[in-house]
Amino acid sequence: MAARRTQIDRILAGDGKAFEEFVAQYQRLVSHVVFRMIDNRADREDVCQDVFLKIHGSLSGFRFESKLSTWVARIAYNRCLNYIEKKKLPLFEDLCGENESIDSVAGEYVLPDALVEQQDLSNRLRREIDSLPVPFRAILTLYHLDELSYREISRIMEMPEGTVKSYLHRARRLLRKRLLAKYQPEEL
Amino acid sequence: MKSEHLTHEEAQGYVENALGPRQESAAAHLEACGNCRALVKQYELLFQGLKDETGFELPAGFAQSVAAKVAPQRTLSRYSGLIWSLAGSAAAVFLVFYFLDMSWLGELVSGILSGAGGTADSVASALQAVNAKSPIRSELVAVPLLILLSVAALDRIILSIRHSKAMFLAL
Repeated sequence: MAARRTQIDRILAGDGKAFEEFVAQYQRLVSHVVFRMIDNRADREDVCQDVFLKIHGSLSGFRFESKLSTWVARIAYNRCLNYIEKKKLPLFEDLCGENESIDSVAGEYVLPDALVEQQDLSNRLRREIDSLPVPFRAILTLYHLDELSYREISRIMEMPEGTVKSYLHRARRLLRKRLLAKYQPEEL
Repeated sequence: MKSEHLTHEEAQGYVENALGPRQESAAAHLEACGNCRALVKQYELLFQGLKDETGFELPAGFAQSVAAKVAPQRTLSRYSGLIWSLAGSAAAVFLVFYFLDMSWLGELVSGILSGAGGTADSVASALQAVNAKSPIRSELVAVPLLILLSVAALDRIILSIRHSKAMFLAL
């Protein structure tokens, strides 16, 4: 915590090197949020840059009441929401028909271990994730890739923890269903 | 022992070892149920895939380029705009006075001041005197030039003050 305060004090005092270190530390988290929420590849880097400039301008307002990573991710999330709103893009798609019956899917397929090549799965997974509603994508990334807790995600996305948990379960269930609908288990 | 099939939530929770007291009974059920074992296996693969995702890399040098956009505003160049504006204005005024015969301006001012509070007659007479003395009517060049330079300098000064104020508020 003390080191973090020192780093922020240095940035506020105009130390460019300290800010560069800060960006290097958090660019992974910010890129996860931005790349996941914004489909247009050409805009992603600019939005990441905007996020850090916004952080720089707001850093004096950080009160150490939450983790810095949560605060950073929240700024990135809100910036992406603004982008989506400005571009008039849908936040949620129509998910009708996605609530499958548990009996119909439990154990339909068996995935042999040897058939899974991680890179292929990663590519297919990315395509399917990109077709999910934006909040689902954000939650999946924050939870699995950045390993944030339900509480942290609820603060970032300003929604109850129960909603986060519910969205996460639903997103994973949707992903599983869509992957199995498009690819044979052997292809995964 | 749990004998019913696992729900999707339970299968996901099982993979994360988050079922609490139900974890053991779920494990017992999985030993006996191939369908639920398959479901759990699918979620295990999905979770692994989500954790190992790649493709979020920003270009090399991103941190430096962002820092470069911010750092100069807080160091040497913070007041440089203002300083350069003032220096430029002073130089422009000096050049105008140096290369053009500006003695008419002094006479115009003194004529106005001496004309009992600056009446219309006194201004007109001063202007006539100036025009008579200046065959090239230098004021036609100098006055617009001075006005242009003043406006440009004022614009730079206002911009510099606004910028400094914005930086101060950002802090």
